[in-house]
Amino acid sequence: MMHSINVAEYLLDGKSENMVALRLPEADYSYGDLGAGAREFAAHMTNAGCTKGDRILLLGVNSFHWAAAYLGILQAEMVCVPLPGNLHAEELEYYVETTRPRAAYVDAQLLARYRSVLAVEGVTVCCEAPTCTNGWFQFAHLPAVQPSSAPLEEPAPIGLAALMFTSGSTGQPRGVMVSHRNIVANTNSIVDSLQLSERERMMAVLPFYYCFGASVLHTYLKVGAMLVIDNRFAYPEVVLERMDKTQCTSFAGVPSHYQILLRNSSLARKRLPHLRTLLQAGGHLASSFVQQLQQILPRTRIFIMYGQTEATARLACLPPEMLAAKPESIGKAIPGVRLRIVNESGEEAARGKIGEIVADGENVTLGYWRAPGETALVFRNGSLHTGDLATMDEDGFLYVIDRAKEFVKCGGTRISCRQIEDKLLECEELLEAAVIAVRDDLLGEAVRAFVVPRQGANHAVAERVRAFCKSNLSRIMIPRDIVVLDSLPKSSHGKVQRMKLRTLVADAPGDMCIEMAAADS
Amino acid sequence: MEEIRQKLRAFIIENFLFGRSDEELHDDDSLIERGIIDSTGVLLLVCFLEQDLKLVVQDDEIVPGNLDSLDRLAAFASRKLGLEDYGTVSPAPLETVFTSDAEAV
Repeated sequence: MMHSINVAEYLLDGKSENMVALRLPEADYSYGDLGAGAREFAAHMTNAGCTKGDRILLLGVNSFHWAAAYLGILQAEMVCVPLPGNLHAEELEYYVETTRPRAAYVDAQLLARYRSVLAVEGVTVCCEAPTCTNGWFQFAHLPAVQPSSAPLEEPAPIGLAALMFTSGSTGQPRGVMVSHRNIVANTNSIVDSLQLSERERMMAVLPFYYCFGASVLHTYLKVGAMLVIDNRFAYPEVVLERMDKTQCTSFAGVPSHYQILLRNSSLARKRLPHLRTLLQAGGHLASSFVQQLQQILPRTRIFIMYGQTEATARLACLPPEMLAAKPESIGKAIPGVRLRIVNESGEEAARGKIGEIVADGENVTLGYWRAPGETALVFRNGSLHTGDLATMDEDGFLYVIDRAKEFVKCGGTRISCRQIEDKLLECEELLEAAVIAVRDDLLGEAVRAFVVPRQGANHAVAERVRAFCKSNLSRIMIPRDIVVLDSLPKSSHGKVQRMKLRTLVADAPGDMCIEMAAADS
Repeated sequence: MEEIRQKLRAFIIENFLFGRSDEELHDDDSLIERGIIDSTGVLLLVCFLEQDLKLVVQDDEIVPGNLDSLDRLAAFASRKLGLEDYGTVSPAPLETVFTSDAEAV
């Protein structure tokens, strides 16, 4: 009988028990502790009546208990559903109804908030134990106030490890079905492409419920390295200091992490002699920021990467030594992955021509949970249609153009929103920028730019940004409207929510400043 | 002190819980662990402390130990204002909690 792949075994087997796996502010936890915690959690779930294929929710910030529960669920071949900890109760209801969980691990602090939603007959709730004299976990014993859900018609697919929910531009979040095989394949590929070793110390600020954060957890555990967990990125100086103290060798972030570090922290004045590797994924980081990183941290290797939840995590990587030669590129497919640029006729596009990125590999996930229609649209003939438009140059390097919706059609000319954003971000005063198309009576569509200054939002910022635009943007790209905000609306994964931007301001043209309520004193 | 605590509570609910009255906020809830604050939110909070409560907040006082829960905020504000009731929050390890002050209030 073929031994089936199990992510928990794949990550924990053969590790030296005493090696530190997770360094938290309060304590170190070894690979031995992780293994013991995972086994304890798996046993609890089994004793509570959970079986293979049952869904178990995971609610909380990155922690030892989160990781141990995660590995325990995988070890027991149940299905993990990691979720953000800042959901409103009715958002959690959606996930409970959609996934029909048999159990949930919840950070003790969040329990009061989600008590009523989770108090479903037959659902076991578990938290971290305050002290670990009797073990790492304890049951919360919620009295069930809601009847148990009807059982699902078909069981979960065999080999399913996790449901990673991701939001599309419309509708409710969809659960990407990630298998054990997917995780092992993608982890192997990433470890290979980054050449990771056990000597690494990764500053882990990305939430593990997000595929990029999960891939950081998988890859660094796989090689026996250490993850320094810190959930205090709201205080970037605190995290920078901790990186220094713990001698971190690596940092992974989405664009907003780097934007904040470069424009709203003391990174430029810090010496971080142990920092050698920066990983960037989760969207496009403007060139001006990449260049600044290279200037400030000349001895680090910067890996620009591309992927999506539907691909487990990672699809492509730009080797650091190619940053200068191929700026703006997302690189080439990582080992084991094949990427094609496919045109509307379904054929592979010629070099330099725009098409959709289509991915093949063992990391292509099983589809969307209970959404056969959407699954059929995106996962066609075993390949993943990413929805991202790109070109490939003569050397095989990929360049993401824009998602199809992110253009402005201005007087007949198609302008890329990203191009304008990148230019705006060359204005040192700005932390973030997002550009959308808005209706215009004369031109059909016009450019509306939302900008976030490093310091507080006020009307003078709009004037200065407009002056910057006049000097630095071609006439067609100059925004009709400049809206100054304190922050851009973002998802829990840190991605800018363009849909929310569209409804933020009425259609009237002109510059304005939207200050947060508290600033009015 | 109670008035300060009420102002802080109202501010947090308005800005980080979007005014939702059905959202419970306990005095010792960590804003970080609740996932309701990011770095922009921290700057907003500091701005509120300086403008509304008239505190002078030093850069190295912008740490979770001082700001991450209602209890911590109230204790921090009290210390800054020289009020008697410091609350029962113990300083978090590994962080600067309170710098020497020369602030006029």
